[in-house]
Amino acid sequence: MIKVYVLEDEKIILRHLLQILNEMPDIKVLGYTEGIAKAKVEIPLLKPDVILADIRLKDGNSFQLFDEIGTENFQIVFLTAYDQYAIEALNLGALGYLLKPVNKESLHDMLDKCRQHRGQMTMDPERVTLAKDHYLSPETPLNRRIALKSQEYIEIVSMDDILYCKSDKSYTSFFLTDKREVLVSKGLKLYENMLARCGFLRCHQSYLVNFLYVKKYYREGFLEMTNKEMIPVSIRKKEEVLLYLENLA
Amino acid sequence: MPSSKINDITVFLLTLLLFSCGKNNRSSSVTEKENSISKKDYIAFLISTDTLPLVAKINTITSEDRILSRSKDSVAIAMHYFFQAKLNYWDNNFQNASILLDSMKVGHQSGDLYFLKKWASLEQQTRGSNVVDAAVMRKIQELLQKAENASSRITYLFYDLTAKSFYQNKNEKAAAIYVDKYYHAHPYKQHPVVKRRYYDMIFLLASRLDDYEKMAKYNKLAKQLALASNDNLALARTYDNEAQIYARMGFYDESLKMSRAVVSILEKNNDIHDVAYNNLAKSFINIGQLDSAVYYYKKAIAMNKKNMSDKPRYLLYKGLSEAYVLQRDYRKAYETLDMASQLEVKTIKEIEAANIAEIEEKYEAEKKDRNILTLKSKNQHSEDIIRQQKYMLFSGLALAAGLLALIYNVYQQKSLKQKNKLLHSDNSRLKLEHKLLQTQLNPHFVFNSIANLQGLIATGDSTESVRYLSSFSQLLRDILEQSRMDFIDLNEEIISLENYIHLQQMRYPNLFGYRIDIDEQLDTEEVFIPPMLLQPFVENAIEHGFRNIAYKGELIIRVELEENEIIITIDDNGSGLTHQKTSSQKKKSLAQDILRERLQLLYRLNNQQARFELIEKKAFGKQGICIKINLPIIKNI
Repeated sequence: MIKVYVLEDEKIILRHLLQILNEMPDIKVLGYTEGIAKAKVEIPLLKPDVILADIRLKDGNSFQLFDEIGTENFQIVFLTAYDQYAIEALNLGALGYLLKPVNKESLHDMLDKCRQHRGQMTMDPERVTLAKDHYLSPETPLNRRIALKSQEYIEIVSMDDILYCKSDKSYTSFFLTDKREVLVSKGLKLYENMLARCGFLRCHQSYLVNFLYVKKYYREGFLEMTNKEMIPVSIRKKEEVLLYLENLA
Repeated sequence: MPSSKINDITVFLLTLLLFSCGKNNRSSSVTEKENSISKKDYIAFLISTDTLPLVAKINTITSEDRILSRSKDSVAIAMHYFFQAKLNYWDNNFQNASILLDSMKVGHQSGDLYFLKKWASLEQQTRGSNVVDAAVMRKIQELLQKAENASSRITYLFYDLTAKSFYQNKNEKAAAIYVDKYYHAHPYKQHPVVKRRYYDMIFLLASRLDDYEKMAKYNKLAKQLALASNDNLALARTYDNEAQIYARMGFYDESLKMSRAVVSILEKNNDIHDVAYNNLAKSFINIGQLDSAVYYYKKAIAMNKKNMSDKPRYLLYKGLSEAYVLQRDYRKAYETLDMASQLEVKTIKEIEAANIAEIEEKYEAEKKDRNILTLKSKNQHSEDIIRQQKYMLFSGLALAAGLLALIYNVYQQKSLKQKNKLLHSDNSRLKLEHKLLQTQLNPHFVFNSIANLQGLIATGDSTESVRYLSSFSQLLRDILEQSRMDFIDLNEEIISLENYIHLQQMRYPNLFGYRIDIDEQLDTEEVFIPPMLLQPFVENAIEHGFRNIAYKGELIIRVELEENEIIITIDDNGSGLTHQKTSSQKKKSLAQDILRERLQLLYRLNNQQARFELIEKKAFGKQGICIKINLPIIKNI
């Protein structure tokens, strides 16, 4: 039995969510709210296992709520319709989320995962902070920290510790300065959007490099990294790379 | 001394003549004097020196030249060169003479200076007694013609030169004609020196032609002249000439008489020479007085030896030998003849040597001339090359400049084209940007709407679902259509807006009510505004203004016509700016920036201005925000 609490301020959508949740076995909806004021009181009292939270609420956003009540005692599944900054923020914190309109199966899978990790998977508050900071001030540069969620663990790394990222189908490998490799089950495109503002450049279909560690550019289409690794530059990206180098010079 | 006396007289005469020349000579000299007081008529001076014997002439010219050389006047400088050339010529320094003459600058080609230079040059070319070249002859004739045409004062010098050339070429008759011309053209033909020279020349020519009568006639004239001027030496010469005439005519007694007279006059004047003794000796032979002949021959030989005379001594010996033969003293005759032949050989050798030297000199001169000529042609050639190179360089430079200009032109055109292209692309980029800016149905709204629709369907509220779906699809269709246009009519915008508001009201039931007031003067289908202009403000009012209020929201949209503007107000009674969070505020201000940019872009193309302002009603003690948009009227698009 998983106890769920729902934060959603649009009545029709809330009604729909409750309907799906009630149809699922093993799920008990403890309560719901349109705003954070009520949630602040009810969540500590009801102690749900999972909180389904729309980000924008009637009287604020849910990051504010978690800032206040903490994230240690439950798992969070964020809900959002389409909000570029919200999605970026969630990815930055490697936080789980569902897109509206909510797909019944996705919700089911998500809750299943929560059930498996119940108890052991407590939320690192820093991940929420990462997401919140980015969501509240999307135009200011990222605070140079990013959460990477691998199969086994979630790790927050400094962007300065990433040499480059390499895509592998729908996965992305992060190559770190301490020679470790972190495989994340998200596409490179997602990270490109976030990291492009932080000195990273997509120099190839499969590579996103941190320019902090680029040592040389070979005209035949290679970037030599400080650790002597060679990263290919695709023909279509050459110009962009050169422009980037020129701006540095 | 008689000779110095003559000099004195001639100098005196010369000065007199100079003065008279200055007075009555042609007007040109007068004007010259007016031009420059110090200027002297050197031509007149030169002509006047013809009245002097050669030695006196040289002295006079030398002293005059000394004064002249200090002058800075161009004529004086030219004359200085001329005099120097002449003096060198008389001094047998022909090369110097030629060089000096070359340095003489003469100005225009019909002046006396010009003719003087040409004359001196031709005189140099005809010097000696050699045959004069046909080319030189022609030149002399040419210049004579020119001088005659220009009625130059020195035309007579050319007559003289012509006569001399004919004489050298053994054409005595022609020479005689020009001698006459010379004499008659001479400005000082009345002067005894000039006259005597004339008589001498005619006599010489007549003698060549064996014209005894003429010889006698001119000798007589010369004798009269000598007697009139008390010139004993001149008189002696006429006696000598008379002796020759008589001897040639066979009148030996008269000839002897004359020869004796010559010798006696010369001995008296202490001016005796070997030729006179020789002539006397010959006369004695002619009449058979051989002892006297021997005596005078010996005297002539002694005199010749003593004075190093010009007369070839072997002739004297020959004469002596002839006298011995006639005396039948063959031994002496033989000895003398031997002496004579030895001397002759020697003389011939000397003459030959002189001739060879002369030929060599001539050859050298010619070689030099040729060298000069080749040098000149070389010089000309290199000058040509230099000129050519200069020309090439210049044309090369011009070509390069032209090419540069062309390249610059092409480059500029290219860059202009590029600029144009850039502007074009800039323009289209702006248009594109505008398109991007205006297609602004918030995706968040879209997906939320879909989520709502999903909810409605899932909960089985089919009537509401159908209503929601038709509103939503209408809105989507309108926005898709309108996004292609810069302007739509007001009516369309209002319909879209109402659609949008309906959808929001369904999302948030009972959250707010709305009202749209349109000025009755306005024909909503005739007035055009940018599409999706009001929606973002309405969205803001609903999403941020009304969402968290305890009372029912009220949205009032007014469209009014005022002068040339449409004024649209979007008025809400929501929570206003203060209750809104930083993130959304930033987004909102961003939306406003975008709108401002969009309005600028749209109306700038028509040179119009649109503006909007956000008024917080808190300042008037009320709730909410009022947006006021001023748009210029666009009636036809």
